[in-house]
Amino acid sequence: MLFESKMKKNLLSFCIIIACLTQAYSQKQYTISGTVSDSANGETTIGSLVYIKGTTNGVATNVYGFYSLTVPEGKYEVVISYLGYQSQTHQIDLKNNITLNSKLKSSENTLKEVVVSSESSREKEQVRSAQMSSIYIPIEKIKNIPTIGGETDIMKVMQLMPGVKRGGEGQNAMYVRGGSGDDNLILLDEAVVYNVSHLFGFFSVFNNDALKEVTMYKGGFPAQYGGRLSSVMDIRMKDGDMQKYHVDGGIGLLSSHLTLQGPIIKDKMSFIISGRRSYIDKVFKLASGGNNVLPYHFYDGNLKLNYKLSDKNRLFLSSYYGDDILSASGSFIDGGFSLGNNVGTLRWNHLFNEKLFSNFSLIYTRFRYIISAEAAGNSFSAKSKITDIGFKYDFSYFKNSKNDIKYGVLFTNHSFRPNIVNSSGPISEFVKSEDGKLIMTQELAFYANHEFDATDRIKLNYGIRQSQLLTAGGRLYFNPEPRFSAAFTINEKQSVKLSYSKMVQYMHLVSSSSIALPTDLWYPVSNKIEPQFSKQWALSYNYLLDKIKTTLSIETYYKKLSNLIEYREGANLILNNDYEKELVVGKGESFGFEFFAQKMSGRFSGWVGYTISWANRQFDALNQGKTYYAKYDRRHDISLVGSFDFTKRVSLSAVWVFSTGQRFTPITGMFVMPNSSLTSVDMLPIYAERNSGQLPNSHRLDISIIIKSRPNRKYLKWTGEWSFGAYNFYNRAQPYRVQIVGNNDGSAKYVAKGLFGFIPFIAYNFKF
Amino acid sequence: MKKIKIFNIALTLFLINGCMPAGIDINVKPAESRITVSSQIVPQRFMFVSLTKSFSPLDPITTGVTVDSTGLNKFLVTNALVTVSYNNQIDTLSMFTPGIYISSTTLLTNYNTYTLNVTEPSTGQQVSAVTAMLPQMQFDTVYPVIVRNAADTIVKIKYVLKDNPNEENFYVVNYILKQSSSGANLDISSYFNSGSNKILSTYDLLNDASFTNNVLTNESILDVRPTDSVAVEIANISKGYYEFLTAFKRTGNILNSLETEPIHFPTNVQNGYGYFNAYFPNSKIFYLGQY
Repeated sequence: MLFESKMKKNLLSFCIIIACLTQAYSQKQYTISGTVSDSANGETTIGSLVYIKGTTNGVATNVYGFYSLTVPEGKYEVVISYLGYQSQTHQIDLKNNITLNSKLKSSENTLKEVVVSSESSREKEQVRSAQMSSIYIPIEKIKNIPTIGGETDIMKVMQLMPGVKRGGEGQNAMYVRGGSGDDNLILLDEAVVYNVSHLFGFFSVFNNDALKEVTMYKGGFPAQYGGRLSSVMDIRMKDGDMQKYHVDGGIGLLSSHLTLQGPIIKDKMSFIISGRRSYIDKVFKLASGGNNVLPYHFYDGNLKLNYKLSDKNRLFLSSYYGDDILSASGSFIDGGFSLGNNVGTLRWNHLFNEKLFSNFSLIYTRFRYIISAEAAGNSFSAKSKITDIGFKYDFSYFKNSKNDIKYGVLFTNHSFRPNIVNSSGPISEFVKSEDGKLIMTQELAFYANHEFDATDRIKLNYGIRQSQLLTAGGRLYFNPEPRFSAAFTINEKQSVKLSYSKMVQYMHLVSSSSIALPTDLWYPVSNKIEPQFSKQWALSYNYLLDKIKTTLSIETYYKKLSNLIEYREGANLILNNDYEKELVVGKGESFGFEFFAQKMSGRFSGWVGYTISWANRQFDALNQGKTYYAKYDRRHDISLVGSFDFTKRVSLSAVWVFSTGQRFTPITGMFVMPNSSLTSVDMLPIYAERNSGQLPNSHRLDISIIIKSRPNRKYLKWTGEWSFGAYNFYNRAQPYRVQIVGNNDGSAKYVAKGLFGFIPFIAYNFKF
Repeated sequence: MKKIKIFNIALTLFLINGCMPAGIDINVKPAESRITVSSQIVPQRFMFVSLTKSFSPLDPITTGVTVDSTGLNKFLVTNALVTVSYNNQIDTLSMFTPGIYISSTTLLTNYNTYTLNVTEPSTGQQVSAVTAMLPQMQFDTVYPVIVRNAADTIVKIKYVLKDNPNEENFYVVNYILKQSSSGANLDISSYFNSGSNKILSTYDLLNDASFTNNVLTNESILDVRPTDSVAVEIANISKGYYEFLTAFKRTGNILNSLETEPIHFPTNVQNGYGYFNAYFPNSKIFYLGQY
């Protein structure tokens, strides 16, 4: 009853806010609305700027390329610009509401700086906008960044951003502003992706060929996002070319990929289909003369259909399917594992009128793993899966150029089915068959967000997300999550911003290891295990170096984390249905300063990131209750990323990273104890305080050279490019573990070891 | 063809592994060497206390998983003053062998509290620990079950225990497995003289939650052959030692070796390590060839 009354009261408040927001600022004006897209393929552009020349009146296109700009009657020059594209100017005599759809031409084939009007640019918008702590990356801008194997990986690019710390060497895990590895919400066309890794975390599941762009939020979270404590990564897939067919592909040392896209009905319906497969298994088989020494591979596929029903209605169907497969067969044992995601989204864009845009999404996500083995008359298999089915209904109300209101609702039914075990033969005496326990939770969230220009200098963005979750045991968690951010523009080149966000997380990853194992599983909160919370305050100073199109920002943050979950020492998490007994609850805090300078256009592009930060944890049941450093508390992180186009065909990219050594708990002594039956003596370790040791600092240079071929118009306009490069160019160990190594004189020493050294790569990419 | 294969392997290794860079030396401050205590009661007869010293992980002794006696000797505590006080009485333990101290006069009585004090004159180190004698526990029933099928033979030990509902109790059930090196049935007369036979052990840990209506009927499957023998031992242990053994057991979990998080061992020894115990074990021996 208490919850019901609380819920009703909050819903009422929520509706009042929406009503007030939509009634505000009634003044007769006219609206220019439409979509902005790429002239070459009809792909809509996200975040294109549409503004009135000579004024600060402007808006950015939303994630579907739609914009709506309401201004008083008059004659205007409307400028439309987008990073990497030539700007367009339209003369308009505004007497009625008008639709202005714009197709921008790419500036890819020019070496000149992109010409963007002096009144506005993406960079200026970044300075003026109330949004802070966000990183926006068009996929085209990062495709030259060198990584292991030569295939650019969006997860690893994000690790190069200030405030984002990488996990172990080569791993996809991210630790954002002192958060844990499971605190990041990763969305692919609005569907949650639970497992973002192939090959134990060394590759991400995202195939760049199918992606359009990525936006990451580390703080100042817009109210439409929630469910994780530390970051949101919103990844959008390409829509598919509406005009003509074309093929993109690439052949690398470890995997190859191919993408086909084109119109089904020209300018009406398009598709994009993309696939990728690794051939580590084939390489090893070939090298070992036919023996299947590493029978492992991964594959993934993306499919998207895009259908313009009318000027006001559009449908999108997005899907991803991928698996990691290990399938070994030998004289003694047959077995392996299979794990992967399947996500799908069906979305309907509807334009109620020139000011009210909506999107309705049906969302499906499934992650599952299967481990199986057969040997000597015994068979064993273990399965686990998580399935989400839900919907999201979002509205964007573009009241006028100074007011933008977003609101919506999200519902998800989470279904967890961990530890389904089947065994037969004598092994069934040891490992009993189990159906697995079905755990279902329902998550519902409402949100409203109002962004407006309070004055010419002050932009405000405030909102609330009202989330609730019903546990399998019938407990209802009900959490208001206020969000606020503001920007004060000092002048057109400088601004100061601040933000506050509260985030709630209703599920956690139960992982037995620091690497991504097939047995890592997500579990929901329960009647006993309560949701995790974070509260984050951030302040930034932003400066635009207009002449070189570079934005600078210095940002500081403080984050408080509560109800954090850790495991008891030596917890047994594998196939453990009673895992809650292994969890302990505590709290944490983190704070730091981030410096970021970014230039995304021109012959030279790249960024410099520097972070100095602190992160600690306190759990009554760990480290004798004393506060300790979080595992990824690394004091300094530096990343230098640069790409330079020597000519239209030749470019050089380099990445240099430096990190203070990772924390670890060293073994500082040993003692001997008899076992409980006194039949043997064992050596047991003495550990120092938790995370009191520190690995050596790591730094690394990765480089790549891209050489593009001349377009061959005779053969289907084939263009190709060779990519040569190296990971860890000067071959320095990237410490991630400590070993005790014997010296020649019989003594021993601690040595920090890395996983990879200098790794060259070569890849060939093509399109026609 | 052979050359191509070698080239392929070399190329693959080069491309996959690249050059493995040398590790980087790091300094880790070693923990101070401290006295480690363990103890054992022989019902109604002796109290044994073993004293060793902790050592650095960089010591050559750590190079093997099993500690050999030569390597262990220098870590044994000799010439220490070891006393046990209880009921206003102080007994001094004498050194039985290096590192092992014994008292045959200490009165071993249920629920008595014993305080151990150790002083090592050469270093001046002092440690102390307190424990209570817990009453002996009996199996209600215990017996082996051998299941023979075409593929395998499975040996189970079944037992029934009754718990005292009025107190919080913790138990350890030890299985001491003696494997016959010859494959012949083992002789009943010399169980703890292993000779060339292999001794293995495993254990279950039980607490009040393991019991239903204060009764536990349990079975454990053991990795033994029908020609081997098994000693099953039950002991009523303290909560602290139960937690120590829980941590001990977790170190043996192979899946936990992938874990990077540590396991700290609880101790009741002030300024030292290990665990000072006083409990009466109760054993049953089964020669599986007889079943």
